[in-house]
Amino acid sequence: MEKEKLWEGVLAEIELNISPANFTTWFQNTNIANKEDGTIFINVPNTFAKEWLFNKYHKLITKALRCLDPNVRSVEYIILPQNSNNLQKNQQSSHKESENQLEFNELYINSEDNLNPRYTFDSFIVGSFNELAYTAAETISKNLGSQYNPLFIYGGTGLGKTHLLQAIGNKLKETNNSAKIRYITSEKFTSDLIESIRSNNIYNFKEKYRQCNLLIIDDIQFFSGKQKTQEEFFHIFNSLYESNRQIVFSCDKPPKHIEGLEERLRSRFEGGMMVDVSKPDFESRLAILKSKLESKNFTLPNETIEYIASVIKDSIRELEGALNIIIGEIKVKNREISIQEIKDILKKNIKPYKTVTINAIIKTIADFYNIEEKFIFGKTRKKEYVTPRQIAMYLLREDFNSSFPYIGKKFGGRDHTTVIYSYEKILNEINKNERLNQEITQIREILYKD
Amino acid sequence: MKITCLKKHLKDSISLAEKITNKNLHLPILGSVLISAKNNKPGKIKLTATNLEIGIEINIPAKIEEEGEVAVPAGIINGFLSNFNKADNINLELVNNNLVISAPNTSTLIKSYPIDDFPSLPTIKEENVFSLPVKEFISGLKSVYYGASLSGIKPEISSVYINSSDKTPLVFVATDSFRLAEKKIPYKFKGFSPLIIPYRSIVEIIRIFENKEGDIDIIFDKNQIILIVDNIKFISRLIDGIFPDYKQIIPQKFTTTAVVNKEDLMNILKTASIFSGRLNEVNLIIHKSDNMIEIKTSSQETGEYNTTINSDIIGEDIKISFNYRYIVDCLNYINTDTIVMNFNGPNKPLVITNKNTSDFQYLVMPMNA
Repeated sequence: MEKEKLWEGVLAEIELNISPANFTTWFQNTNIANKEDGTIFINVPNTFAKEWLFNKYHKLITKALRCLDPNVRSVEYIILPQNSNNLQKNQQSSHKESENQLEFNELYINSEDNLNPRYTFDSFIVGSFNELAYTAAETISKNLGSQYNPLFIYGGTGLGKTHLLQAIGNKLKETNNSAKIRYITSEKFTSDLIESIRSNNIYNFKEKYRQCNLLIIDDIQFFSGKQKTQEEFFHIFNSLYESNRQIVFSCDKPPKHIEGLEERLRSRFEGGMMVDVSKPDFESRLAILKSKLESKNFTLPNETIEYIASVIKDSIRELEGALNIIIGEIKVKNREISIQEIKDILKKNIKPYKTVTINAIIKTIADFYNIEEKFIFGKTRKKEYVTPRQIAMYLLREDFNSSFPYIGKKFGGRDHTTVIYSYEKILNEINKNERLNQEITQIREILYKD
Repeated sequence: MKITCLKKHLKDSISLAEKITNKNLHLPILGSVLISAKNNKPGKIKLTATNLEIGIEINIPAKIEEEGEVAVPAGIINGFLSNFNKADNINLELVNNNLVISAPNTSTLIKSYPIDDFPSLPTIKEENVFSLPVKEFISGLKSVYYGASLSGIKPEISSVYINSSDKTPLVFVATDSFRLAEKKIPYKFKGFSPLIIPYRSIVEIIRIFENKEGDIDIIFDKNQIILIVDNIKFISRLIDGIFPDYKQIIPQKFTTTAVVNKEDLMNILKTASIFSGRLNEVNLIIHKSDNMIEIKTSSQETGEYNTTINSDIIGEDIKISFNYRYIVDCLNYINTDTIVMNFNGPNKPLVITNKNTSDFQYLVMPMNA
């Protein structure tokens, strides 16, 4: 006889023999957990029920069970706490109550997979600047390990990489209960590795990662220069890759620009799908601000939103930070605030946006190579001028996303194919020529230092 | 049943037990207290009450003339005893299954319940006993329990977490995800496994044992805990879950550290609260150059408040706002004159500690900047 049917029969029998009060108090939330070698294991909600059933109704229960199933020899009671039902859903509603009071997010992160349930695809704002990354992420959450493996998402800080990465994990969790998912930052990976070496537990460490169906490593650039980590990770990577497990990385730059990264890892990172998230355009920034306002149940004049979107260009995180400061200020002052006030607030709180003009790039490169600026713009084909000129074009393309025709126009009306040629030349050269690579790194440092 | 005992003993114990009872429509007997007199425990009677979440057993001295048991409504007997001032000694007797309480010139009859329905308190098989002074244990609980979540949605944080090992002192932790309190007391126990005690039980434990002397014995298994002090035995279920890995939340470094007088801060916060808005928001602005903290509140209805408090400050200036209640809550449980406030910039938790000792820390999240 099935467990459910059997227990129903027993309950029907017991109900006839005891008072309704006792029946509802003690037999609520009970059921048969298991049947083994003539022993019936009964789930009870707490220790009180266990004591009570055993001391008071044990004979009655055993008798009723034997009547229905003569094979029953003994009965045991197991406590099965009732308090872990549907937490996930209720949790989210409780979060909404306190939009202004910040919480320890860490408490809500699942310790098994490290995923924060708040990062979902639904709450991700898609624009032209991240559309490709979004699509790729969504695709792999549906086709694990088969389509884009590994997926490598790169771009500056505060552009939503972590959100996207975690959304993949959360989506998979929703659709596939049994999938083993693990999200980890590269720093945490390294410190876990060191810990496992110290405690002689490296086997368990490796196993933990090899079992994953989806392994997500955030901020992989911090692997740079850590040889032991890279070596261990290389083996984990291979093992996962060979068994078609999905691997996802994020990084603040493309693999080829990660310094101190072993060649074999670099080539593996590049072996799957590489997508970038770039800075949001003005329209996207507006959309992001509007959606954040909506989620906070707050309204600001369009003019204000447009102003914020026009001055903060670098990161979504900064955008949200600025919005929060302004909302906070409005709440403290209890009135609307003018654009001028907003300007002052942002000036105080947001780090100045470092503008690098074309002229600054040219000047820096000219100074660096100790040549006159006009030769960089000029047509001279002397080698000492050609390389700096090509580097300038390369930087404009690589770091500022300028279009090839635009660069051509700036450099004395050159054809865009010439620019493409220069760009690719440097791109290839960097990998072969260590000196050139270092020079470019130094130029970048001069350009971007505050 | 026929017994004689001191009225004071019975009155005090019944009033402790009454709080544990429960109005249960299904099982009215849960609203009663069970009085048992058994010859195998001469010179003592036992009072029992439970609401199926927690239970209490109290032994009080008594002269037993005749064995027996009776369950009477706790509210009724408590109400009677608290107003009954006539005698020091009283007699309890079972007459036609009802309880008769008599003293010279007085006789009271309280209708009883059939005792067959009275639930037995759970027992624990493995005897793993930890002992420490009850004062210390209660101070540990009191230092943190107000920080537990009251919502009940996540049972593991509507609780107090207790743990120890042979290397780490007994630690008490409570959090509601907005703030977190941690208290350590210097007792190390080998073989102790983490305990998660529901908030509602903690409130009762504090009430019952707060003014007791001597040691408390702690016995527990996976499902329940038993606490024993002298003649009182308290039992509670435990939460079967995992307390969040709270240590990862506690920052190790800070960008701003301010030392202030506790009383001054408390008074200012209380005054400031009059002018804080619906969100209980107070703004703190830390000025390193002037060695002071500016405290501001404003509300559309009541007005504005602006004051400063002297402070030794190391690190960066910072502007941050908090729900004042969350800060005031912990100040009551710090027993030094000065406190240390550690900041890490906007949107990061503030960590409040004692000036000289590291046994207590309290983290609180700010309001959204």
